Amino acid sequence: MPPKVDPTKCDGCRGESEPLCEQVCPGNLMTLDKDTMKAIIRDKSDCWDCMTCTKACPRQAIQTVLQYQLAYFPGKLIPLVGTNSVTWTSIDCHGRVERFVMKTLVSGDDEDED
Amino acid sequence: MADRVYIDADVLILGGGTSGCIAAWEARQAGGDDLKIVIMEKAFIRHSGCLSAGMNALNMYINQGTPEDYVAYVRYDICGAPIREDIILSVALEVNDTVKLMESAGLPMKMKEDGRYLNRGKWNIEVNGSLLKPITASKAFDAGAEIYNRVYITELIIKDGSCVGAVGFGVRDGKFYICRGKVTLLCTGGAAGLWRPNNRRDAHHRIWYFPFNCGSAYAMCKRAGAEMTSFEMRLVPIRTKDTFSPTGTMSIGMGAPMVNALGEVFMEKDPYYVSWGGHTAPTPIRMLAFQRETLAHRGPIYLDTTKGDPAKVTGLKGQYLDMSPCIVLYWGCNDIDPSKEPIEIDGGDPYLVGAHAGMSGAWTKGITRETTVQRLYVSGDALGAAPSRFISGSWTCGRIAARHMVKALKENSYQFVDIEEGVCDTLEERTFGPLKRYQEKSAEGVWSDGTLMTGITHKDLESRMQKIMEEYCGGRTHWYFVNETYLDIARKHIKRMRQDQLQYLCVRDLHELQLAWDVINRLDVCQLVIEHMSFRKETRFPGYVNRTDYPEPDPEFDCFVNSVWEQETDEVRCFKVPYEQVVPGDRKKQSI
Amino acid sequence: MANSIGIFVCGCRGLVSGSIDLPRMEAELAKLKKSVGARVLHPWLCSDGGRETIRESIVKKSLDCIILAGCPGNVHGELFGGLVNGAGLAAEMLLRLDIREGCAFPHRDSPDHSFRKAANLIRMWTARARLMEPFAEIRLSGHRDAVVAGGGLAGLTAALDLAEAGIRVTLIEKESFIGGNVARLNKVFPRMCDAGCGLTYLYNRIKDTGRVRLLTLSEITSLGGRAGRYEAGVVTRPRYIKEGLCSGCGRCVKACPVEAPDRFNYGLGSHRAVQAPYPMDPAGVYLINREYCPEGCEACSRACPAGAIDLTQKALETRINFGTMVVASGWSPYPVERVERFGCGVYPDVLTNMQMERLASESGPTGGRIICPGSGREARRVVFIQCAGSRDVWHQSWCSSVCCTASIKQALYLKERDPGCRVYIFYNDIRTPGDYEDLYVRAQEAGVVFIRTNPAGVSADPSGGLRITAEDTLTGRVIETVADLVVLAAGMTPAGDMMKIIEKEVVDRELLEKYGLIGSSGYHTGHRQCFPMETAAQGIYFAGCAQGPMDMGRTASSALAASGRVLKAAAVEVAVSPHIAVVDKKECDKCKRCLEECPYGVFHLDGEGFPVPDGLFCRGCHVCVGSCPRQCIVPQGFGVKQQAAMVSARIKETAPREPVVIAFMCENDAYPAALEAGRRGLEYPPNIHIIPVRCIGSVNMALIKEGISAGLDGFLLAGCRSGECHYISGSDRARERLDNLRDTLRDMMIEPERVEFLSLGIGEARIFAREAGELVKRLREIGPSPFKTAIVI
Repeated sequence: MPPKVDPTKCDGCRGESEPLCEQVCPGNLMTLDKDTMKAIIRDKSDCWDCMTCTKACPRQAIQTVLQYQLAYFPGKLIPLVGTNSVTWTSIDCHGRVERFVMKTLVSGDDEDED
Repeated sequence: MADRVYIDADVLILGGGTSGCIAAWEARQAGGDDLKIVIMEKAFIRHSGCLSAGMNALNMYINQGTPEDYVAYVRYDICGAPIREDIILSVALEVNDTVKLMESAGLPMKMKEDGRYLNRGKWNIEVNGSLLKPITASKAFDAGAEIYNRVYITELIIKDGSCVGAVGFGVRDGKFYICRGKVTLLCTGGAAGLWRPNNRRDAHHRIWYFPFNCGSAYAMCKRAGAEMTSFEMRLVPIRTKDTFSPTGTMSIGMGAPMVNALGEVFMEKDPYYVSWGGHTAPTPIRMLAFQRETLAHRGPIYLDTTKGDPAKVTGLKGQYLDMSPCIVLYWGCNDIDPSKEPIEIDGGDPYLVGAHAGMSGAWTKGITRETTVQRLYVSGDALGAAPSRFISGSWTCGRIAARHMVKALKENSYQFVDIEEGVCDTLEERTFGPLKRYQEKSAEGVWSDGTLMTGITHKDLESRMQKIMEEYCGGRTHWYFVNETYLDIARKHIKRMRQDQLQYLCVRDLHELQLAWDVINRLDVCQLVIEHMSFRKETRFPGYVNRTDYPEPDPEFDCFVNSVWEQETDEVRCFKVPYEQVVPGDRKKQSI
Repeated sequence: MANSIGIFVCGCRGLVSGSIDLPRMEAELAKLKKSVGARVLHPWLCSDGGRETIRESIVKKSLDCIILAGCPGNVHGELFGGLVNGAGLAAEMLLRLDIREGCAFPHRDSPDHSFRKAANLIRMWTARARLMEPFAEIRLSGHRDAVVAGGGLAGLTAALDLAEAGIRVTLIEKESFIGGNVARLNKVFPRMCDAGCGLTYLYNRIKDTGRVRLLTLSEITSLGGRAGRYEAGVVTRPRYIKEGLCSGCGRCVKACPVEAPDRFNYGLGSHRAVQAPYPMDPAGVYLINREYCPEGCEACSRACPAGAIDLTQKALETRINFGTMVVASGWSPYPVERVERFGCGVYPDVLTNMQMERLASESGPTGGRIICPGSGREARRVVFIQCAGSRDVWHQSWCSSVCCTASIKQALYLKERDPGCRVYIFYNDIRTPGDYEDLYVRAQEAGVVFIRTNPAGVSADPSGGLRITAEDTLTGRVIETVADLVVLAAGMTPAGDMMKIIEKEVVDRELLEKYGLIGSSGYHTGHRQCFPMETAAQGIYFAGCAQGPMDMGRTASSALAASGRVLKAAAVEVAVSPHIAVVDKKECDKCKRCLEECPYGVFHLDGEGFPVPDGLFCRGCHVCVGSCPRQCIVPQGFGVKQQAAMVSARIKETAPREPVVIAFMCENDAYPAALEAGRRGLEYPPNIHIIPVRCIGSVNMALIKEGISAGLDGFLLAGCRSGECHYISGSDRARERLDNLRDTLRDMMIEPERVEFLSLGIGEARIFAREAGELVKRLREIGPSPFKTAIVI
């Protein structure tokens, strides 16, 4: 399930080198294309699908897409990472939507009664 | 010559993963403020390794019973085979405390109404672990450890039987790192990618275990002359078909049984499986059952989620999102609804792990986690003969190792040992060898497709290795069967690759150099696996290793198989080490 | 972390309690348990009794943070601030919550909704209060090294001011002499005094300080680094003469076979390639203009009895590290030969105004006599042509502001020496601002003839003089006149390459243009009203004619203003704003986005590769806080953590099935507009819960995402209009981030309309009320957020 980078959204983290996805990828797979200043994957077949880059990208420019040998087109799975929680939107090939919310981190300050 | 970076550490931790991070934290607690703790991490510590996708449960937690009961469970879960009960017990004694520690670090726990953690089966608890790795890493930061990201450690430095440091290269900066440690903890994970994965081409890394764990801990320990154990006890996983996502969420979490194409719940039908406990039979037995059902043409095999706890089906996808999100996409794309249809499962490529349902690793002295090489400690998947520690147990192992390291450091007043320039030069040459060779050999001619006329790539070598292991060392397509003749062929080829072919290995850049070292390490691990499998002339773990020439267990082998690599002869010398039962009781039964 | 929060709700003598049911609020306050030490409802908190209640509660209940829900924060600021201070609390531990203009007034017709909104706001503010901590004072060591680029009037003035304040200054001058153009002036208007005397005074004082390293014949050729940590490459040209050996005997000059134009006299006349030092050359040593030497010529070297000449000397390249810089690179006369019709460069008697200064000067080529260089005659008819290449789209569009007064001054030189001299000034518009008008009158009285025209051309007259053809635009008459001398008022054009270097290495020219920090002239003017002297590169300040054309008085003022900016960051120890950006390295993933999004370029990378802001230059705008994907920029007080707590404070519907909206509003323009809406009683829906922020660019998108997880229905980000943001690009950044998020929402099949950006001027209360109403109306049509019914794991 390699990451695909949307060049219209990716801004190369505006940095000179090592955008966020390159910093975080556990497989050392993401890097910056020096010509376009956009993120690219060195070898898409080497990705483990941990989705770290997809979750980390501040521009939501990365989408994780399943290899076609495994799954049909055009389902999508989109994480949206907040400060202490994440939402996932799953859109199957027929456009059916499922949404999930889960905590990611406890900061311990929501103890008021409703 | 590359730029050199010299690093000195009181406690040198190689691998910033599950055990490494917590070991740093514990070392600080035990060793005080003045201790210099350094972590060398191949990737980026906040997001690296097995935990990078998250995890939805902690599979080791004493919800009920005693730590001894957990030992009995672990023993049973690998068919009563010998395990290091002392080690498992030491972990079980403080795993609950570790979980509490991680909760206070911000890990969202799921709670029951009675205020206890929400359990999943007997020994597991559920968590919202999508940030499990960053939270784990935060303990290393809290400890004030000095962290070097993107440094690939290639070799330990051994002097007079003691480990005095390690060297490696910067994956991004290309520098040569020379680290000295008064004590060194090696915890770089287990090994994937020795056998051929089920999916090919662009999905070849769609496997269960983290594909960038190449067994470097095993390989480096082996090359350091440490005593290794249980490399025949590999893990053969049954996972969801295609995505190879974990199945515990369905099987333990919702009680979904395995069924065959005829809809038969075979684990509860066949008396042999029933005698092992049916659904909850030991992991290798469940694997065996899967193999037999498929070979009897009753496949495909499923986990029948429609028969599980319906209340939990709604949450199923969500739970996977915390751990293996791709399966939710896979289901969405393939119109699969686990509440309406069973989920197909498959046997994957074998892995070597020490902390999951496998027990390969380095042999350690007592519960110190110190290997037979002085001042070298191991934890996590690198620690052998003590399976089923999982994440919470690996955290805990890191803590135990750290305490013993600090204790030994103080008691023995270990000092830094000078490393001669000549040693550094040799290690540097070896480390950057494939990269340097590329420059040299590209002058000798390049084919029109860009490959060298006088060199091979890491990919070439990996494919060859995986093909040999797959076909001659019990891969998935061979239903995990081996016999001595097969092993001889495997032995011959792996030896050839290691002794003769590495000199042709050439890579173009630092990223490829990392991959090249992955293959070099894997080849060393292959050697261990082949020799161990060949030495254990019996079948003790049916399902994991099926020896067609010795299909039954042999009481003579009710022991550990350990080995030491002899550098001069390049031979792995295997020998038996007796098993000591610490927790009394029937080894083939759970105590609760 | 506040552990004992006091919540005080004020009825405001009916202004609040008239529409918000305070007794009913008691039950709501009771739900807030964690870390709440006091809950007080009071009819009138600013009264003596009310204040005493607060003071007493703080002391008796050991409160460490106060929420004051009532009037807006700008009302009774000092009264309440003094009160909590007096009771031992830091000012920042008082959180003001506006439920009057922000709740009671605009929603007075729906008291129930108003009540629920107030309860939500108190809940949000309590969540924020729990994460509040008193500010720690931040003291930083100042930047003690400064560079002044340019040794003219501005540079010398700034260098002296800095050096006297104890700063180590490197003063870099490209010529061999200091004083620049001013050094070459004959007289200075309006007092008609000598320019040299002021310069000499400045230079003597500079020497007294002992803190200025002066590099003449030197130029900055490269510049790198970021605010507070710059590095410049400086090239120093050699003199080819060893200073210690040269006795100044002048034999080399006699031996030298070639001529070189006299730079000091703007090319009027020449000297040998080896020359005696110009006036104002601090070294006072001969030098060789090597570019004029014939190949292989060593005549001077052979002639020198002291062996002081070394023709092999090489240019010296040095690197200078410094924290701040004053760019005083000055101006050059516009190359008027480009205005071909005036014949400069063709006719030797067509001069520039600066050449005229030299001609009039006693130290000039003619000893101060106005002799026409071509004809050799004493000039008796002189025509000044103003705006030669200035205010001209084909040349320089701008007015150089001094040329009119300068030409009048020069006309007076002529009239004062020879009242019979005929002097004409051909002008477009005479611009003699302020009391320079007096000079204009003086010239008219002296008989200088002013003709409004833009001459058609200058040509040779058979008489040997120059013929000027022009149309008097006041009378419509065509004038043909003959003059001995024509003086062209050449405008000012930026000298040297400093601007180009800065634009190449330090700031983005496009950004400067977009936000009006650069004039149409290309000069780095900075934001002229809000932040004069500054452009986007903090620590680099423009002074004098590098900032724009100006006269000497303004030049000196501008230099002092620039040195003032330098001094702000130059004390041995500087107590900086508590609001400066702070990077939590434990959480930072080194993506470097902050480095790029900071409107002031104050971030640099430390030795480990972590971005670090230079606190001395940080404006505390928190645009970096909004940019950080790791949310690890954590200024004291109000950051993402506190804002996230507010967003996830379980805000409830103000009425069943009503959308819940959070509005982040910039406290500079947008929030005052909302306040004004409340003050004027303009109605807007109570669904809108306003969180004022430092700059809308400080809002991190993770907050919106967190709000989406929490099932909130809509978000409004209200900031300044583009180009009007007080932090240059903050407002545009926010809009850009939001546009990006809206794209993602669309992908997620969520209506992007749920998230809206609104540009507001400070006076646009009505627009705010209308847009808020529209947003809520749209949200009602769209329906509740789908995440309200998401599967929670």
